[in-house]
Amino acid sequence: MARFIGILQEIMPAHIYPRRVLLIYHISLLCVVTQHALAGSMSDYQKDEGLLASLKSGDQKTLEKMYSALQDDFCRFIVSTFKCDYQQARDIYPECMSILYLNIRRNRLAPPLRSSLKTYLFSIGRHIYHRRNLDKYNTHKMAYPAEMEVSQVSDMVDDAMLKKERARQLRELLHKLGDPCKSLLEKVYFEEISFVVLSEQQGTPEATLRKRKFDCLKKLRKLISTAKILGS
Amino acid sequence: MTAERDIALIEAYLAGGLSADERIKLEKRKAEDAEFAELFNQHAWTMDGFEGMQLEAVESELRRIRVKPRNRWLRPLIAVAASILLFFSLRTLFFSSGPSVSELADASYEAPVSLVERNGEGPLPAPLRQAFIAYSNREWANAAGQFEASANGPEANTANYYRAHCYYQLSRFEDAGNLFSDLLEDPRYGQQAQWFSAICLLKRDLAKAAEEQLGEIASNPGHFYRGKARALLEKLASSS
Repeated sequence: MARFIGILQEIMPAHIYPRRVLLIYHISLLCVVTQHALAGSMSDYQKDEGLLASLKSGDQKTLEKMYSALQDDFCRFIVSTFKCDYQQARDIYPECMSILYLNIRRNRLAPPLRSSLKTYLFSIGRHIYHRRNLDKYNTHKMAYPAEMEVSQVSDMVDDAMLKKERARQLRELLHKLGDPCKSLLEKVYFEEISFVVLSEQQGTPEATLRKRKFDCLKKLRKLISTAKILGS
Repeated sequence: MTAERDIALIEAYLAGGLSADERIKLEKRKAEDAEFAELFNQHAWTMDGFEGMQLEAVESELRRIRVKPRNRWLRPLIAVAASILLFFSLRTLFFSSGPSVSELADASYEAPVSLVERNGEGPLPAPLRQAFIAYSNREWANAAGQFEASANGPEANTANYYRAHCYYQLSRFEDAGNLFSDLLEDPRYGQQAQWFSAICLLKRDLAKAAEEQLGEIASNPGHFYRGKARALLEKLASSS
């Protein structure tokens, strides 16, 4: 710092006194720090990849923080794109965030990112809103900014819609299947509890639980065939 | 057991946990073996259903989060405050032309040395000597008191001159200035008193009176502080 002040004193006019040199120093420092912070936030989505790692590990606090931080920007984007109500935008926001989150958890969205997570989220929002209001928009081609066009997102949204429909059908079949199969399959595939933990919780050997799960899946497949869900 | 192994294989395939070769092998088998294809489709359908349930669960959890509305007033207010701050910083930086009058006065002030061991004028009276010891030790209040006690003695002007400097150090500029003014006619301290009196006026923000006094010093060819007075007047002119 002393060297910096010395250089400034040499180049500045005589009436610029040390306290002013210090002021210049602080302003320059502020500029450098700001520039660094801005550059850091824009470089290769590094910050978002850190966030991605957190979300992939299932960190709920990160999810809640991101959810709260982006809601306002998301809603304003949807409102300005579709000229809809703020409330309509807010209605689809949790759905969009859940799609983004689950795709991260399932490793379908992994580094290196080609867009920021915010852009992915906005793009999901655009597709969801468009699908929900097809009667209004199917004949009208919307003009979107190029940076909002993110590959995979259309597939992500279609996939999510399909899975939700399957969830509705699966619930009915699980209901028909009844306990204890319903409970076991939900613990394994919905709550994703490992057999080691289940074995400890229920005091049943792992092998027995695996056999039970297999038997339950067999029964469920019979129900799927009977219901002709897959067109077989 | 084979079916159990097949289920595990399908789950690994769906989770992306198979190598490229294993994936190709599984896809080939699915295309050739109708029974395996049915098992695959049914299990994939089931996995999709559970993932759909997870999606709904996450969505439902997120709907419970109450997001506080962002204070949209705060951002422009901070921007305005920052602009004002920046404006005043730049104004101070580029348009104020130098140190303050008080800073100039301080830069021109130089305290006289203590006379504890003076040469050629005989020893100091004991009380005055004590005052000078306190002065040397920068005990300004103590020294001022002791100089005041000697103010009616044989070396009253010496005592008052140094008492004035003690007051200056104690930031009692008016008292210091009055004492210096009383010494203007003294042959020994007159010129110094005039100079320091002008500095006291500057410290009291009486720049005009100070400039008059400095002008008198500067125009007096025989004045000891003539050069310093001229330099100070120039600095005052450039800072105003």
